[in-house]
Amino acid sequence: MNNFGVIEVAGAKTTNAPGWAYVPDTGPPGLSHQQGKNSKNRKRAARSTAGGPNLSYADLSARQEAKVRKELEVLDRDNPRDVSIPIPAKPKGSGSGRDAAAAKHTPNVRKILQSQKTFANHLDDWLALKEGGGIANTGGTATPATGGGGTSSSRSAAAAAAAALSGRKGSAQQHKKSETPNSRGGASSAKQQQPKQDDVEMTDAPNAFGGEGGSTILSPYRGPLPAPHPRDDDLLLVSRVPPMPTDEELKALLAAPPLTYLEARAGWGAEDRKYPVRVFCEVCGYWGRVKCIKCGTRVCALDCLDTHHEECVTRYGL
Amino acid sequence: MAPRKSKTSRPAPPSSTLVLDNGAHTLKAGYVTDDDAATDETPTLVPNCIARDTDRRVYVGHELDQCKDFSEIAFRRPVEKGFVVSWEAQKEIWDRQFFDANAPQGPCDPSDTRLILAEHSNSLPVLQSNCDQMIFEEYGFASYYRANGPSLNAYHDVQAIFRTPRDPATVAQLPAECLLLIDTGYSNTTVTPLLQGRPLHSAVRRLDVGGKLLTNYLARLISLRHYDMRNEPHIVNEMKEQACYVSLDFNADLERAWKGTRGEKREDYLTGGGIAKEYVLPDFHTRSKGIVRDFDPEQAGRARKLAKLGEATEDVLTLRNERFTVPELLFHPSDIGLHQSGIANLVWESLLAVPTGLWPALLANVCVVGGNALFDGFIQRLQKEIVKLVPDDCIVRVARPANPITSTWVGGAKLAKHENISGLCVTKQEYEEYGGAWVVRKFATGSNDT
Repeated sequence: MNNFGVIEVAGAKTTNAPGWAYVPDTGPPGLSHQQGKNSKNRKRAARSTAGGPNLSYADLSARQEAKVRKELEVLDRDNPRDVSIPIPAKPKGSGSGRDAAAAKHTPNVRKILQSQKTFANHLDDWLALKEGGGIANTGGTATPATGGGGTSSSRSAAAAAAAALSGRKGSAQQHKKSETPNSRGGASSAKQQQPKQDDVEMTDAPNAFGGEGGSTILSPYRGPLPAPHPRDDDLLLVSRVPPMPTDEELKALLAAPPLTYLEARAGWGAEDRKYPVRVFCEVCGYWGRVKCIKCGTRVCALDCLDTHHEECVTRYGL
Repeated sequence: MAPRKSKTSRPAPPSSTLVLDNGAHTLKAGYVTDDDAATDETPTLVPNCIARDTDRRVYVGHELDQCKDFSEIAFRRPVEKGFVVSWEAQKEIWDRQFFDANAPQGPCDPSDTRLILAEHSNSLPVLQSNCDQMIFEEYGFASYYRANGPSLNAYHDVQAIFRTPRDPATVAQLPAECLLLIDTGYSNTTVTPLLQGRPLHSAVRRLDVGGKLLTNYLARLISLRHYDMRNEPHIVNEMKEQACYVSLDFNADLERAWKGTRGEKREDYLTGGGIAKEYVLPDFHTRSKGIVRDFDPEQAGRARKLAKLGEATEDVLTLRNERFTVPELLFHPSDIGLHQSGIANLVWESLLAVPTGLWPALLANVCVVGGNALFDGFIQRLQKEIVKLVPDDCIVRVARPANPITSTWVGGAKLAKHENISGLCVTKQEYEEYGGAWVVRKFATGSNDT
């Protein structure tokens, strides 16, 4: 029905009524008050300008941020409480010939065994060492082949190698649309395209790794090909395959040093920011559609809100 | 650079190889001898922990089998984030497993044994050199290869895992040419593209969500909604393994598991909607393991009455959306405020660091190993999510080996028989002659000559 031709128009007039109002709330705090930019409420305006569409920890209120961090720390623990379990004494009769030798460890071993450091300690140590710049030449800690300072830039070095190939990226997007019967062997026909041209360069690669005869890194495809089709040459149906990287590129890739622990950590990239962060009811686990006015905890509906109100306390540091 | 030792001066290779995948949760170990192909290719699984039960009895490693009462058990794990950190505890577990006189897998004579030890990617240099020193100076293994764990999986017949149609007579090429390996274990989840069995280090990515976090998260949810289970990591872990699954349609499942607004009686909620399951908690007298059974509304009502009267014979939890929101963290870590990419985006990030020409080959060979791969629906969901991200005409195949937990070990066992191994290992003499830094460098580059 067209409602007798009457179109409802949202009123432009807002009254600054005291009390409360329903505010549509679709995301974590910060995002929710976008539309309040022109409102007279200074607090709300300040909050909405602080948190842009790019959500980050900074957009959460400090209290919630602390809570999330604390909860993540708890989730990362092996035991809920701090426990220290000492090494038990060996049972009788289990003594081996190595016991005599075990009595005198080498100094290195003794140091390692007595170390009470946790992984976090080691990570902090290593970061401090790197900050100091002396990581390459410290006696005890051996570094990978990259040498002084090289580790920090390894990800960028790898990125540079990838940048050399950036021209090929476009073709990857381009060939998105072609799909032909024989694209089943997409990978393999790509290999077939690669001519065996750079066969000679692999002298320093160990034989053990060489594909066939140690000549090239990727071996050509030798399996059966799909039966030819009369329209194989049809420009609309032809499948495009990204060009294979050359042996030099592959060698550079293989020779790239390992990333450091922190560099390998997954980021929070553009792909992840595409969609808003999902929020859940903290009582039952359904979507968190409404928020507790007092503390901002998410709940799904009135039932869960009541449950939550029973224990809703706003304390400092909670 | 140190002069390379000529091959002829090498001593004869040791008679047997100890392959050891030293996981944070379980240690996978077994001996491989290269004289025959008939060695059993299954490792022994040992809990890699020192545990203490409520009676303050302490169990080390395999002794945990004797434990009858797992309530309020506390664990000390030598491996943190996938890396051996507490060698004091690790040595005790290894000693009791391999080296003591009455050890179940021993006594092992290190001076006549080669060790292949799988380690996680992106270790700290300190921890690597600690490991090398312990292996050579404390145990004195004849030769040793600290292998990158994910890359060992390339020594499987990967095409058999994917069921590629092929001539049955073809001999599998080892190591596999291209493989995108996802290792989702106890401490974290890593994505490693492999080329000829070697990791492309610049494209390795790690997500700090693993089985431990999932277990702890489930424990938290249950503590909020039912009983306080935060001190029962063992029970919750079993519950997670038996009852949790990866949802193929998260929104729909969440909708079905919702109880509705106030006063609303939702059909799916009352009948369970195919999602709700009951978990009977173990009491460690009559029942040592929990049981999963289908949710039955009538029985649940009766049980509630009995519980009110205090006559209930069993403790039952009803699991609803906990069943799939927990493994969901692997795909959406931001659900708990952990700002990292989920697995599918992790794969994408990793691909971006690799030339486009390798994408088709890598995406057609995505292999998932590690305990989390055992969740129902994990593979299908991952495939679905990856397909959404990558170019249309890349064929995406995701598979897991028959036993994803021991997969890395089996790969290591195959490497032990492979001709590559002699070039990869470092002997004790080499360690003594060239020093620890040389060993680290050699393992880092993974080649014969550095």
